[in-house]
Amino acid sequence: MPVIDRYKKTLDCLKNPQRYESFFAELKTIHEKNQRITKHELNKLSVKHGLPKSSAFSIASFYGLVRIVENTENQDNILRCCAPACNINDKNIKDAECVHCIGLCDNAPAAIINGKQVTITESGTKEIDKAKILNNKNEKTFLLSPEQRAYYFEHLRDLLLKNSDEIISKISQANLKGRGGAGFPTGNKLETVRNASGEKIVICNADESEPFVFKDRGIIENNPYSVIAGIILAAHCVGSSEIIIYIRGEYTRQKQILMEVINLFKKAMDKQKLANINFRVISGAGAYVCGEETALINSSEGKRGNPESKPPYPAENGYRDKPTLLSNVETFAWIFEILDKDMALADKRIFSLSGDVKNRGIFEANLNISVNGILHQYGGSPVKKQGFTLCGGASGFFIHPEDYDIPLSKLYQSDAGIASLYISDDANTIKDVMLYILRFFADESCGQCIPCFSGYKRLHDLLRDSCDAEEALAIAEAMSASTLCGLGKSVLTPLKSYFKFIKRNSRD
Amino acid sequence: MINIRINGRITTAKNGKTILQVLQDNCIHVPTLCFHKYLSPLGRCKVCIVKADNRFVTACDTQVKDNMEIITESPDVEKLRKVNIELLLSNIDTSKLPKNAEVNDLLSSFRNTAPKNSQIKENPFFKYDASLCVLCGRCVTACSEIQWRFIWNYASKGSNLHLTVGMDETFEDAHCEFCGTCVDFCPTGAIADKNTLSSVINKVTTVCSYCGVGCKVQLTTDGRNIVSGPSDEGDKYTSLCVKGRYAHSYILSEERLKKPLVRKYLLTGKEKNPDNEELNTFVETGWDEALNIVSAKLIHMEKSFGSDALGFLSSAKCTNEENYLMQKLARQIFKTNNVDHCARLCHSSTVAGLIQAIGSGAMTNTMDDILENASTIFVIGSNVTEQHPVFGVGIRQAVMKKGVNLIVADPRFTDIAEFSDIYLGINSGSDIALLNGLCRIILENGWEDCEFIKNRCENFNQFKSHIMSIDMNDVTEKTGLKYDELYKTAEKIACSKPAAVIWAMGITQHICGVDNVLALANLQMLTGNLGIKGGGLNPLRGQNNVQGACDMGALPNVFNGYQNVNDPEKLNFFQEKWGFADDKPLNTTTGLTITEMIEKGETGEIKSLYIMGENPAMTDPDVNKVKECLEKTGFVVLQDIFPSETSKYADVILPAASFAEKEGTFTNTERKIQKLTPLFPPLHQSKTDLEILIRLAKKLIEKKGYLKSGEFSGWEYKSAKDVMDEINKMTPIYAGVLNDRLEKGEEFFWPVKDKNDAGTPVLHEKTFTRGKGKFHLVNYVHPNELPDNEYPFLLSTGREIFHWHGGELTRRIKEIMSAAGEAVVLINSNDAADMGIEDNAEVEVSSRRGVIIAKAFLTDRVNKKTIFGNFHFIEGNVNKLTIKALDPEAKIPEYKVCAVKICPLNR
Repeated sequence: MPVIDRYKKTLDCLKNPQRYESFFAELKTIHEKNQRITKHELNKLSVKHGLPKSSAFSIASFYGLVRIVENTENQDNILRCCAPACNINDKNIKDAECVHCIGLCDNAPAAIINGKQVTITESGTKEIDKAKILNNKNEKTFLLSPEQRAYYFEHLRDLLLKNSDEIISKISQANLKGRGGAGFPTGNKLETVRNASGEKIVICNADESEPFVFKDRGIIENNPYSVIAGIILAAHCVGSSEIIIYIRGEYTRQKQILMEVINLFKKAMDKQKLANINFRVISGAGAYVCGEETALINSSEGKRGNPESKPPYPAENGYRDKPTLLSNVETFAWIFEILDKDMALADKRIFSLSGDVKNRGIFEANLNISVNGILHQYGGSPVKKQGFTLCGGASGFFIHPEDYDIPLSKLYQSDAGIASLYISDDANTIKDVMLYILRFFADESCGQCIPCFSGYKRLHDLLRDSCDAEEALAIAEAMSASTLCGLGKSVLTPLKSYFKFIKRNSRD
Repeated sequence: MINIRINGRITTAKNGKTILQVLQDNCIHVPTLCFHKYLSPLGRCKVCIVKADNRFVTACDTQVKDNMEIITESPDVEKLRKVNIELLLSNIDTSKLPKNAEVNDLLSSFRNTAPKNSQIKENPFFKYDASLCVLCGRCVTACSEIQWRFIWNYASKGSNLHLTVGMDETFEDAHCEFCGTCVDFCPTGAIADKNTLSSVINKVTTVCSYCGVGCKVQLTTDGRNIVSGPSDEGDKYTSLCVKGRYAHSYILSEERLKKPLVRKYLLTGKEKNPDNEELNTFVETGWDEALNIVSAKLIHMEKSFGSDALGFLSSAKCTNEENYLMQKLARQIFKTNNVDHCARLCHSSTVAGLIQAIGSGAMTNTMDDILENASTIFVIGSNVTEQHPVFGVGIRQAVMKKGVNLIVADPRFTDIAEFSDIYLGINSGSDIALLNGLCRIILENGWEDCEFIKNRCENFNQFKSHIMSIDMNDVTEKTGLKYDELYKTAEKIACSKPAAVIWAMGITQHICGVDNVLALANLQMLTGNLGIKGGGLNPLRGQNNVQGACDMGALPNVFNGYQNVNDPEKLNFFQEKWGFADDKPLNTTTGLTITEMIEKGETGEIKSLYIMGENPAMTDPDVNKVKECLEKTGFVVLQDIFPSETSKYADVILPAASFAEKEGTFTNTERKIQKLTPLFPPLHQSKTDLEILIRLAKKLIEKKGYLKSGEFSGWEYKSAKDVMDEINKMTPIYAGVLNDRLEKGEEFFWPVKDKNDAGTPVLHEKTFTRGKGKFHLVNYVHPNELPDNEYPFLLSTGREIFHWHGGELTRRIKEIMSAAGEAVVLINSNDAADMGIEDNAEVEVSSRRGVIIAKAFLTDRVNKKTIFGNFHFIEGNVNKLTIKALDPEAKIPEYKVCAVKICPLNR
C-alpha cells in the first residue's frame, strides 16, 4: 500500500493555526447535530482543514463530550451525572454514560440527553428548572435583583460614555477580584489590557465546570443582562471590539439564553455603539481544565485544552497572540453592577448551595456569613451539628460541623476560591466525596505533566485502600510543586482539610 | 555570561542556556527522562526538578537567570524527585523492561506496581507495548518535530491519556513510513524493533546503498541477521528511511548467488541453443573456469566481429573504483566506448542539458546548503519524500521550522505537496510551457537579475525575444494552470532569493528531457540563482553511486572526470597511462548507449553484453522488447548478487558481493565522496565486483599477450585503495580525494583539485564551468504517445518509498513485503467510480506493448484520466507498458507518459 494518504491534503494548519479553530468549530457543529462523530467524518475534517490525522484525533478525543465512533449507527447520547450531589440509585434512565458533575446539582439527579439538560424524575425526565434565587425578596441584592431588560440597555448606553480611566479606578476602588477562583484584582487586569497595543480580545469565561458549583449558570439563567452589559462595558474600557464567550459544552440552554440576550442587546442598543462589536459564543466540549485561562484560550483556538506556563499572561499575549481580557461570568456582571449602582465595595458574591438542604439554588451574600447562617437564611434548613460541608467545589475545602458558626471569611485561606457550598448530613460519605474529587482530577488532568494525572490516580488508589496521610501528602506536595497549572496543585487544599476532618472525627 | 550559584558554589553560565545545560556543563548529574538532547524540551516527566531561587522548576525547560541560586540536592528536592519518579513508573511493568532501556537508570528508588494498560500495537518493523510506556512523549515529539509525520499523538486526557497512532488505527492506515525514529527515542523499550540480534559479532558505520542521498548507516550483525540503524557519529540525529533502517537483511538471504554459473553449452564447446534444455542449463563452476570461459569468449567475439560488437553495462550501485575499472576494461582492453549505465535512464538528459548550459552536469549545491540557505525551494518532477526520503525530511524541516517557501510542480499530488505553499498540478509533459511562462512573467515584471545576466551569461537577447513571443494563454492551456498561480511562483523564485530548483525523473524522463533541463537552467540564470549558496540547479540522482558512475566515465562519450573521448589531448594522456606495448590506439568514436546496445543485440550489431549489477529486463522501457533483444544477443555475462529477470538471459552469471562486503567509495547526489567499510568479507563464494574485474582483466591481458607499457596499464591492484590512487592521478576533479584523507573520515564535494583542497560545496561561484552560462531557446513538445480513444488513460510511472527499483533487493525483505507486497496503480476515485472499480480490486492495465495486472488504489491525488504505477514487481511491472520513445540527444526514454487502458477484473 502506498504510504501516502488517498486524499489530497495539505498540512495547512501548521502554517496557519486558525485552521484548528475552523476544524474544531465544524467538528462541534457536526457533533451537535448527530451527537457523535465517526472516524471517517473526523478524517474528512482533518483533510478539509489541513490537520494531521493524529492531531485531529488527539484534539477530538481530548474533549469528554465528543463521542468518536467507528460507524454511523445512531444511538441516543445519554450522559448521567455520577457525582456525589446527583448519584442516587435511579432506574429510570438506561444506556447512560456515567459522567462527572454537569453543574445541575440543584436539579439533581440530572442528566443530559442528546444535548438537553434534564432532571431525572420518577416517571422519566423533565426539563431542568432555572437556578432558584434564595435571597429573601426584601433583602437588598444587586446582581440577583434583575430589572426589566430595557433598564440594562439604557444604563449601559450611559455607562459607555465613561472613559476607561474612570471605569478602571471605580473597579479598583471597589476592590473587585476575579470570581472564577483565582481572585486576581480585576482593575489591574483591565489596566494591563487597556495599556497593551494592537487589537484586543475580551473573553468571558463561562466554562464553569467545578463539581458542586453552579453559580455562573444561575447568574446566566437569572440575570444574563448584567453579564452581557458588563462584558460590553469591559470591552469598551480596554478598547476591544472582539468578544468571545466560552461556555461549558454542557450548558446548552444557558448558551441559548446568552445568544438571545446578545441579539436583544444588538437590536436595542444604539447601532453606532455596538456596530463594530463582534460577539461569538464558543462551546466547550467537556474539559474541566479549560476553565484555566491559557487552556481556555488554546481550546478557543481549536486545540487541545492544554494549559501553558505563565508568563506570558493572556492580558499580554492571549487569544491568537493578542492581548486578551479574560474574566469570569460573575466578574463581568459585577463590573456592570459596580458602575451602575455606584457600589463602593465589591464584597458580595454569588453562592451556589446544594446537597442536604431544603432549598437548593443561588444567593448573593458576603463572606461574613457562617454555614449555619446560610442554612438558616437561605437553605431553609435547621442548623446542623453533623455531616460535613464542602466549600468551593472540588478544589475547595471541607468544613467540620464544629466550625459551622464561624464566618466563611475566617475559613478561606486567601482571596482565591469560589463561593459554593455542598452540604452533607452523613459524615461517612466524606471519603466517597474525597475519592470522587481525586477521580475527577485524575480524569480531567490535561495529561501534560505526568505527576499530575499519575499522582491523582495514585492518590485515589492510596486513599481507597488505606489512609496514609503522610504518604498522600508527600505525593500531593510533589504534584503541587512540579506541575504546570493549578489543576495539579488543586489537591493540596481539599486533601489537607480532609485529613484534618478525619483526625477531628476520630478524636471523638 | 551571567553569575549563578549551584549548590552554593559560584559559577558562570551563558545567558539563554537552560538550567539542565548548565548543570551538564558543570558535570552535575540530575536524572532526566523525557528530555533528549536532540529534541526540544518536553517538560512532562518532572524528574529533572531542581530548586531555583526557592521555586521548584524543571531544569530541562527553565532558563538560567543572573544571580540564580540553583539547588539540585537537598532533602525537599530529592523527596519530590523520588515521588515523581515513582509516579512516572507507576503504570508500567518494570519487570519487562529491556536491559538496555534508558529508564533503568531511574529504577533504584522504585517499587513495582501492576501495569494498567497492556495494549500492543505492531507493524512489520516494530511494536509498541503500552505496559512499558511511561507516556514521556518523546516519540510524539520526535515524530512531529524531526520527521514531521505526526503518526504518534496523545489521545484523550487525564487517567485515560494514551498514545494514539493516527486515529487509533493501524500504523499502515495512519500512513506511518516506518523510519524507526520513534524506536530510537523511546527510553523504556515500549517502542522496539522486532528484529534484534542475539549478540554483536561485528558493527560498522558505512554508507547506505539505496538512494543517492548517501546516508551513513550503522550495520550490526550476529552472524545470522543484520540490523541497521542511524550512525551515532555527529551532533544531531540523522534520520533514516524505511529502507535504510529495515531493509538490509537481503544481504544474508539464502537466495544469493553463491557460485559462478555457466550454461552447459559453454563447457561442452557446443553452439548456443536456447531451445536445447540440456545445453542451456546452468552448471556451477569454479572462478577460474568461469573467468577463462568469459575471457576466451569475449576475445573471440572481438576478433570475429570487432571491438564495437562488445557492450559493457556498468553499475550505479557499484563503487567508484569498480566503475572506473569497468570503463577501463572496455576502453583499454577492448578499445570500445560501448560502455554506459543506468544514468542513461534517469539523468542523461540532465547531464546533457546542464553541460550545454553551464558546463557541468551535477548538482550545483549540496543538500545541507539548500536546507540551510535557500529561502525558496522549487521542487519540480521529484517525489522527494519517497525517493530521497531523508532529504525529504530535511525539506519538511526547512519548510516547517524555517518557513522556507516551497513550490511543488507535479501532475501527481505527491507527499511533499502536502507541505507546499504553492502546488502546481501541471499536465504531464508540459514543463517547458510552464518554465517559459515563468520566464516571461519574470521579464514582464523586470524581476530578472540584470547584473548576473550581463556578467555571467550569453545569448540573452535572443532568449528574451523568444520568451516575449510566447503567448501566456497558450501556457495556461498547455499546463492546465491558472495565470495567478504562475505569477505567484515566478515572484517567489525571482524575488525570494536564494531559490533552489530541485528535480528528478519528472523532468528528465521525457522525449524533451534535455530541453526541460535547459528551460530550468534558463530560469535560474535569468533570476541569478546560480553560483550562490541556497540556490542552484539540483538534479536529485537516484542510485547511491550514479553520480560516481558518471564521474568514473561509465558513459560512452567520456573517460573518468568527463574527459572527452574525442579530445586528442585527453586521448594522448589516457593512451600514455593506460597503453600497452605495441598496442592499438584507444577508440575515439563515441560509443553506444544502454538503450542502443540492447536494441542492437536483436539486429546483431552487438554480439556480447557484459552487465555488472543492472537489470534491464525489469527497468528498461518496454521490457517485453528488451527480453527479445537479450535473447538474441550472442553472449551475455552478468555480475550480480541475486538471480534477476535479466539473469534468465545470461550465459554466464558471476556471483558478486553486496555493498556491505565492499571497500571503496560512493559519490552521492550532491557530489559528496564517502568511504565504505565492509561488515564482513564477501559471503559464500562471491567476490566483489572489483576483484572480479581485476581477475578478468588479468586473464584478458594474458590471453591477448599484452605487455605493460603505460604506468597504469598493468592492473596491478591489491585493493580498492590502489584503484583510488590511480583515479586521483587520472581524474582532475578527484585529484585530492586521497585514501589517507578518506581514512581520516574527511568527506569531499568534488571538484577536489589537490591534497590541500577541501572540496567545492557550491559550483560555479565565480564562473561557470563552460565560461559563460548560455541561454537556450526551447519550445514545448507534446509527449510522444498521448491518450486516445482506444487507450484513454495517461500512465505515469515511478517508485514508492518501500521498494527499490526492480525490487531485486527489497522484494527479498519479508517485512517490506508485508508492508507493500504487490503492484499498485493509483487511479482517480471519480474515474474508478465511473468504471465500477473498487479500492484494492485487481485491474488489468494494457498499452500497445503489453499488459499488467495490479491492485487499484483509489485516490484524489492523481488527476482524472491519469494513472500512476511502479516497476517493483515482476507481474505488475509498468515497464511492460512504457514506450521506448527517446530524447533525440540524451536517448532517455519517456517513462513518464504513455497511453493505456484499464479494465476491472472481476475475479
